[in-house]
Amino acid sequence: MKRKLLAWVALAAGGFAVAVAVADEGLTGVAKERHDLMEGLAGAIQPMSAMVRGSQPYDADRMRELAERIADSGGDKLTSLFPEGSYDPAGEALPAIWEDWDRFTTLAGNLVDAANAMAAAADNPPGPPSAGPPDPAAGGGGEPEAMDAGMALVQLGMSCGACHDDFRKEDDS
Amino acid sequence: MPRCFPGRRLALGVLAALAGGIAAAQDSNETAARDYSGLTGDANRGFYVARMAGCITCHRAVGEGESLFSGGLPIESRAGTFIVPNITPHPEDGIGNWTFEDFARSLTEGLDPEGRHYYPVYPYPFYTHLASQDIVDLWEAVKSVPPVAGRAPGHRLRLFYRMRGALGSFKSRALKPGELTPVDGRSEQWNRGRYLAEGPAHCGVCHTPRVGTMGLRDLSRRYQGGVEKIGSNGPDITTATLEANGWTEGDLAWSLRSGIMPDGDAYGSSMAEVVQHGTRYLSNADLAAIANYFFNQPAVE
Repeated sequence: MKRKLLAWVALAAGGFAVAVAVADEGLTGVAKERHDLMEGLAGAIQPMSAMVRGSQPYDADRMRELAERIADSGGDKLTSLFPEGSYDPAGEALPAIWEDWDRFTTLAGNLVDAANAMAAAADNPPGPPSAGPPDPAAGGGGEPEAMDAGMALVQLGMSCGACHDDFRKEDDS
Repeated sequence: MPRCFPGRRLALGVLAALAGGIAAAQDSNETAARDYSGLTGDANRGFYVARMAGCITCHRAVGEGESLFSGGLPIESRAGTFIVPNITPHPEDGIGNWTFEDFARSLTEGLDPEGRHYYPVYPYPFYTHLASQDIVDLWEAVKSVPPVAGRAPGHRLRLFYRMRGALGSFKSRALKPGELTPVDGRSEQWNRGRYLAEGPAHCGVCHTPRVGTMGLRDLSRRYQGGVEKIGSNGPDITTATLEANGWTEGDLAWSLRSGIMPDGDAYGSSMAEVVQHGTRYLSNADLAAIANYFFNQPAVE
């Protein structure tokens, strides 16, 4: 919404509409909707990340609210923005999404699970930085039993990455 | 046994590298003398090394019911498709008949027990810098997993790249064997970060441009970004570029833990796999060391 308003303001100002369109990569319709959804996810992750790292004060309610917002954006809500035949070369979504739809929907569901786990862990702020990572001694892959917000956010980040790995165009920058 | 080969690709072009067209195989580099005597391996520490060196990233279980180190992951590259081998202690299908010396030599010299060259998709030009203690620990970890029967199928390489002998020519230039000597005047943290980045974590595979037919890393442009036509196009991660993009040491360390970048976006492509299976298991101290190194890179050599 905000972006649309911005576009009108730019148009009114004259000459800047093109710049706004470029900033949105010229996407329209459902391709733009899913792009905006992804931007919304990043917009939620960013303050969560800041709270976990301690660069913003930790606020459990806000953490939970952002996690729930992400959970609402995953699963069916997310996959509904990728209808068959909606591949757009201007966007970042790869054709592999429709070639491996089952995996894509599984990962979209995993995002909801990870976000819900994040919401559930919101009341356990991450320990001091020295608390360290999962114990590599546990077969090199163990996770601690009680999930704190830091660990939950790592899992959430992994959930994003698992999908980007196969289904998002590689960034050439 | 059934094996699952998901169509996913670890986009490491990498090894392309191979000396195209250079027919004359050369002998391997002179051996860096290593003395492992007096060192005792520890499997738990070895699993940590397997995370930081990316061993598990490529040798991970690739499907339902599959096991760690049993192989099978396809790795796409300009040379064709490499299939990660079984390195469980199975005597016929894995490396159960190897000696420690065989194992150490494969890491530090890129040679199999019969003395044949490995393709550098197995990043031995980096692993050659592994600390001897890390090698000894890694061996204990590899030996500790259950043996798994079944070999992964062979690599499917383009004709041009099937001449393993030609690799000697690549190795004579790309392989600078031996442990890294700490740089005087730099902190212990920085030297630890340098060890991790230039050795086990092999960041330069994707983030340093490659040149020429052999795809040698251009060390005068270290970390300026990989070249797409040869392999994975890792972005420029020089100190100047990281700073220009507004990253901090803390951002970099956290991204290696979580896959989350400062703008809230998450890594994709091969970097997502690097974090998922490797760097997120590292200690805070090691991640901070890597970040410290990348934010204080030496002037071009």
